Amino acid sequence: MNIIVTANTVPFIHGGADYHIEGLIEELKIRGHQVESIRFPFRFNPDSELVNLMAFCESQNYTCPNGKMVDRVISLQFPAYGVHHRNQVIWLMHQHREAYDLFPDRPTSEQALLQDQIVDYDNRTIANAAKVYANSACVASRLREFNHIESEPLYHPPHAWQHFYNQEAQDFIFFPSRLEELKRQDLLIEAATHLESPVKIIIGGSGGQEEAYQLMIDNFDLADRVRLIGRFSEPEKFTYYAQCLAVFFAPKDEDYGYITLEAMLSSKPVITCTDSGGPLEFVEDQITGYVCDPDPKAIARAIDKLYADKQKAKSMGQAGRRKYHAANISWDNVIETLLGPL
Amino acid sequence: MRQEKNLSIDEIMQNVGKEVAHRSTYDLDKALLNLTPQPAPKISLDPVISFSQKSIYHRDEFTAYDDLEFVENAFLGILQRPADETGLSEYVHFLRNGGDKESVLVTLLSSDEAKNSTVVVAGLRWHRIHKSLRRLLPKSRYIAATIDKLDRFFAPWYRSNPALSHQLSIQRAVNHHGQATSLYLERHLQTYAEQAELQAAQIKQLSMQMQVNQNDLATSRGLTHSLLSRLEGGPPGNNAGPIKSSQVNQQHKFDAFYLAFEDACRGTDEETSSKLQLYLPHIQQVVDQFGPLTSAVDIGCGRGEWLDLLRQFNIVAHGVDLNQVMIDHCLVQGHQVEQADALTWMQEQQSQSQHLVSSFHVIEHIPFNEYYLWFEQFSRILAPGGMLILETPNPENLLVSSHTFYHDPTHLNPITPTLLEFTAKFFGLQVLAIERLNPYPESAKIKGHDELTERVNGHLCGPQDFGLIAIKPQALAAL
Repeated sequence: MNIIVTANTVPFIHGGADYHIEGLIEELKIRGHQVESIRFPFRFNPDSELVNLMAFCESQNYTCPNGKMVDRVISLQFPAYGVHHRNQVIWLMHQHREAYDLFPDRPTSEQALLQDQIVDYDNRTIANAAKVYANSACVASRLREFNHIESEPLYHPPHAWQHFYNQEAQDFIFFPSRLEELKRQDLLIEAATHLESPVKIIIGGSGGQEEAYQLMIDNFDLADRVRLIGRFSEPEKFTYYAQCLAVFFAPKDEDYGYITLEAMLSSKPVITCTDSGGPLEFVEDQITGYVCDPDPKAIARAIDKLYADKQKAKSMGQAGRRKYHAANISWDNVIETLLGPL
Repeated sequence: MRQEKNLSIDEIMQNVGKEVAHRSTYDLDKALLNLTPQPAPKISLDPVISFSQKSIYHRDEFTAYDDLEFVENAFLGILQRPADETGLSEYVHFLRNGGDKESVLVTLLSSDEAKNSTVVVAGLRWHRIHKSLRRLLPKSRYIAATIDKLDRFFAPWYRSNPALSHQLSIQRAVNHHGQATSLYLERHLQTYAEQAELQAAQIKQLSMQMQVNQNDLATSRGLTHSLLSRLEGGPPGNNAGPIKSSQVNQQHKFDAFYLAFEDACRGTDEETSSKLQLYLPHIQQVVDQFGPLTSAVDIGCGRGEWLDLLRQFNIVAHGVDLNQVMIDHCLVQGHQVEQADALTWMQEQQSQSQHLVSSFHVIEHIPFNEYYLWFEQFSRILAPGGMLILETPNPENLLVSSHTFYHDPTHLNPITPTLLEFTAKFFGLQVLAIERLNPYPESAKIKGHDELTERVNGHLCGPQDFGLIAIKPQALAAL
């Protein structure tokens, strides 16, 4: 098939989205397809940039660019899904959340105007697609709630999914994530002050909150209990996952969250919170981990329970791995679905 | 209470670091690991054929074993437990001092320990009675003698079940043989594995050596070419190179060219078999006269096709050719050949020494004076009754004489059937036949049977070769 993948690019800022986009393109190529990726440069401000980009995307028709027939267009991001093609499939990573769930309570008139334009754009363009899939159930439910558009969640495996493995648990909780407020490392750090068991906390990653979190550790006098290890290599990541007692992952309203899947691939239980979004699609309380209130004491109790009954911790991890496989999370499934009949 | 040590964060991180390092070397080793041979699985036949525990035995199933093994089995079978050390040594001692196995079995069966056991051993009834009699009756020589008589009387009755004993003995033999074979194979496999390893190393060394040789060869080839070009293209008097070796090399190049040419113009299988059908009856005639041909020569044997044909009929013929590349080719095929000038070779042969002299497609390559001298030699070296076979292109076919004859750049003059026949007769040979062969296929001929067509077909599409078959008359030998 001749396939065009449309997405965004934010020059010099790379993150999980790039893995996802590049992963999809690579997997399509592996399966013998001709793939072109068209990535629109995305700028957060001024607002006029967004408006211009929406208009540009909507002006694009990729049915037969330069006389070359295109069999399918797969669009991943706002506003890249605005392009026209009869066989367009949207696999929505996320909408422009600032116009939806992250819309300020007291918006300026410009913000209100932009929101109108974005919602309008989404209603028009997403509904035009031949088929709409969402990156996760969370994204799907937002689309339903705000735009009244139905979509099917379609899960994909994390990067380097083949390399995750399992070993005998050591007494530590692992939390690899960027150090940002939304990821809520502070919940875990504070939980350490309530622990009755001697379990240690290892937090991987770097980010804007690094200093604040380190200060918090020092203030609570937790140097022996909690460690920010900073950036880590891929092999180190696999081994931390393999040897931990459990993985903590409780961001606020996460869309998807590879960390849940990586923990499940490593046969480890996951501690998450009732308001974490994406992880709740996979973590079943008492079965594949613990779902706590976003409260440090509740989290500490969950960790103590895991320490007290390691056998149970282990079997919850194994249940997680089974659940991962049962959900058929694979590139085979993703590609088959995206290129399936319309 | 938990017994394990609580690891510090540093220790946890160290452990992770070690594991990461270990895994990275492990990944490297994995590929190499696959190359080391796995030890052969050990074969043990014991579990297949061995004493097994059950509830009903025949006596012979125990008595098939000896000594220590017998006692161990008896314990396992009758008391359903391994023999204790005291029991084992007592009974073995008893057996080694002439005690019989049946007594051991009876003793074990009548022990208190066996009272509750449900194990039955058939074939011991007389032994039990015997034992009871000995115990109950007063000990006197008379009674003992009577019991011995009874023993002999009942002997046929309690004799071993021959079929069962036989089967058991075979089983044990097979078992022992199997063990021995397994051991033997294991040792040999070990030896072979070591040898294979050694040879692999040698092969590696040889292939490295070969690479070096190939490089040398390429270098010398380049050198040769440059010397040749200097010889051929350089100004006269300026030949610094070793001219002689270049000339030899040149001859070798021509030889190689000719072999390639012959390969390209190789005759069809049909031509080969027609050749066979044509000449074989004549050769049979020589065989009938001389018995198995012991001295036959093919002059200009080329790739040895004629030698191949003769070999099919158990005739070992000698081959002579000027072309070293052809000679090498024949040697590889296992023929008896030598590189020589034909005339020189024939001059060295004794008179009347050859029963069959043949030469296919050679005489058209030589000048007349040599042709003449060849016939002189044919006539001399043939034994009386010996046969001469010569084949050459047939110039009666106009296409041969005007065209195809000149495919071969080393052809000199076509020889006509008339000339050949005359020459043979001139040298006193008796011509048996002039055979024309290999006409153009029917499809190549012009259709029709009128005189003109026949003549045109005859001249253009007739036989492309002809053969002369002659013998040296007995009378000539007397001259």
